[in-house]
Amino acid sequence: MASSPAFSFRPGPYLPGVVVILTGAAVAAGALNYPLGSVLRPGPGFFPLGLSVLLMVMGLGVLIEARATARAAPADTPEEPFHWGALIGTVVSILAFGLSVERIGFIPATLLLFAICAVFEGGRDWRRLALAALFIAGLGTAVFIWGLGLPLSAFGGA
Amino acid sequence: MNILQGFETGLATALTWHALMYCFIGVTIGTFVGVLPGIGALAAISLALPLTYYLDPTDALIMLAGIFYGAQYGGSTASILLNLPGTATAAITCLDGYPLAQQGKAPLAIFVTAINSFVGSSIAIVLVMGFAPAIAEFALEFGAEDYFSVMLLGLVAASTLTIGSPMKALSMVVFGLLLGMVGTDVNTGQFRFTFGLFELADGFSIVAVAMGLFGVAEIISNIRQPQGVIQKVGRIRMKDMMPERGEWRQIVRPTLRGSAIGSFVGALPGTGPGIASLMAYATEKRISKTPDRFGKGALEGISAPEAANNASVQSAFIPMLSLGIPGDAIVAVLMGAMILHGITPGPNLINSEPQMFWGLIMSFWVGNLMLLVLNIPLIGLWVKLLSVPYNLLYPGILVFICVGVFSADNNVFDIFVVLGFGVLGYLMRRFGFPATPVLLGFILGPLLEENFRRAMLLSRGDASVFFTSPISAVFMGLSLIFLGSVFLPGLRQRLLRRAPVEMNEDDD
Repeated sequence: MASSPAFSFRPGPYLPGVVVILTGAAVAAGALNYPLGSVLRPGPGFFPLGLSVLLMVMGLGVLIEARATARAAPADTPEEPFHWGALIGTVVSILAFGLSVERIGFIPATLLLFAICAVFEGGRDWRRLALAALFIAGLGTAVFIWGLGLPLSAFGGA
Repeated sequence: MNILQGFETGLATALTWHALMYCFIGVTIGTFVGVLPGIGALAAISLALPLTYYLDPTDALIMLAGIFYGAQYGGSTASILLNLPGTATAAITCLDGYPLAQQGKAPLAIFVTAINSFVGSSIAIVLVMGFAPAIAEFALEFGAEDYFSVMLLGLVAASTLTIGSPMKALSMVVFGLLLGMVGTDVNTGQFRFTFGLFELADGFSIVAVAMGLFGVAEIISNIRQPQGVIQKVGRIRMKDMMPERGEWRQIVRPTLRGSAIGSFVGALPGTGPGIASLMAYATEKRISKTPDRFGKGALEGISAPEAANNASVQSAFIPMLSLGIPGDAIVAVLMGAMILHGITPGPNLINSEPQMFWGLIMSFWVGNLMLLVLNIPLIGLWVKLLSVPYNLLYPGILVFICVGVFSADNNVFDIFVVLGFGVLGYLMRRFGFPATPVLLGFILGPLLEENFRRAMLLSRGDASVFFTSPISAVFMGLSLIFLGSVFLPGLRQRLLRRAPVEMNEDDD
């Protein structure tokens, strides 16, 4: 997981445009639930509906552009690697911090976040990492809990 | 109030001990994040934003603005020593800065960029003092339709003057506007797109959106980046930094040209320092008699872009302070900070809050002087900072991002919002969608909608008002020209000369 991307992620050139169009369609469906109002007095649904239609048009533009570039340069350009490890590591570490900080306290949650990052990073330098974690935990406690009085405790539930 | 009175009020504000202190903190943090590749000024500002709830709004703004322009000074250090831009806007400085360092002229390059930054900023601050009050006075006559059109122009300019695909940028503006719709509709109290979540009743937190799209996304894409090799500089001595007489002569004109380009580009709504430094570099290269020296350590190649990016960050305050329209993502967050403090930026600001308006501008002088000290005699400290490995650094930044968003509302929910936008931001980067337009749209969305509704109400539902009101018609016409440039490639080429290097416009 740490070093080489185990499999490469090669979406077609049209995926981004399709995602934009689908997003626009989803928003439009949502906007229809709100009163549209009249031209004189646009209701809460008016602006979102207009924007979602615009978004779908833009998505179409992105598609057309992708088609033009795909034709101009055949898809042999080297793809930048997709950083799965970095993405998943960051997601898991932030999730863990968010879910745990109110239950186990700021300092343990910080150490947990560092530990998860280190696991995904394949970190070897545990001693320096532990020092950095303790430093950040201490600094954060001083600034945010003692200084600003955030409703978190250094250890244990708030 | 005339300008002289403004000076006085401003100096009285900017020279109080607390304003000086927050200005110093701001520019120091700015230099810090500027020097470090992989954290931008935007992440630092969003991080500092919740801390400023406890401050006087003027002090808060002085500090946040200090981070913004401070980062522009620091950014070039990493470009010169590491060949990695400390901030995306300093990318262009790598081209000639790193070769200079390889030739053993790093101290000279660092000195020159600091001086250029100072000159660029100074020229632009003078322009802010001259133009912002004048434009504000003019804008007092704006009606709702004029506001709508000028905001539209800002958004269109921001997305069509980018370096990547304008179609992708435009779709991101619309997406940002839609994000701004989430929450309670002010006119009717209707909940929109809240998915039954009570936490979304006030919409997404601006801090969470900004930190996700810029801070977290940037970290994800930087984790696997190879660390550059620092050019050995040893002890930097004052003697090595001072340019010789011929070198001074070499940089004077490029600096002035760079400042002019930067001031102009920065003042346009929607264009950031990235484009300014790029245009300055391209101009120097084009008018140079010896263009082949560029890329091999030409002093002009670092002085013009550095003057330009600093000038542009200062002049970006012109549209924000006079019209309430942010020029780029960071100014947008600063504007969000003012709104959070209950102050609406716009043409009334200078009359209703003269002490804030002039205090902020005068603090620019103070801050730039401090930066000169931080970046010339104390440069050694910052160079040491570059040797801290990124894998020790980024978990700490993540912790601060999480606590920072939490502190905005004391709510864990925002940590998950930041995470969501972080993943989205990374995917956007990966597929070439710029993040700046999302943030501009997000912040301007509610204002745009409100003015649209008001204009429609006042014109009795006649949409042609946007083209019949003269002021609005001009802005609409400009927007159409920008849009036209997207669809007529020849025109676009002429407006924006081809970029010499690929660069990421996001984190400026």
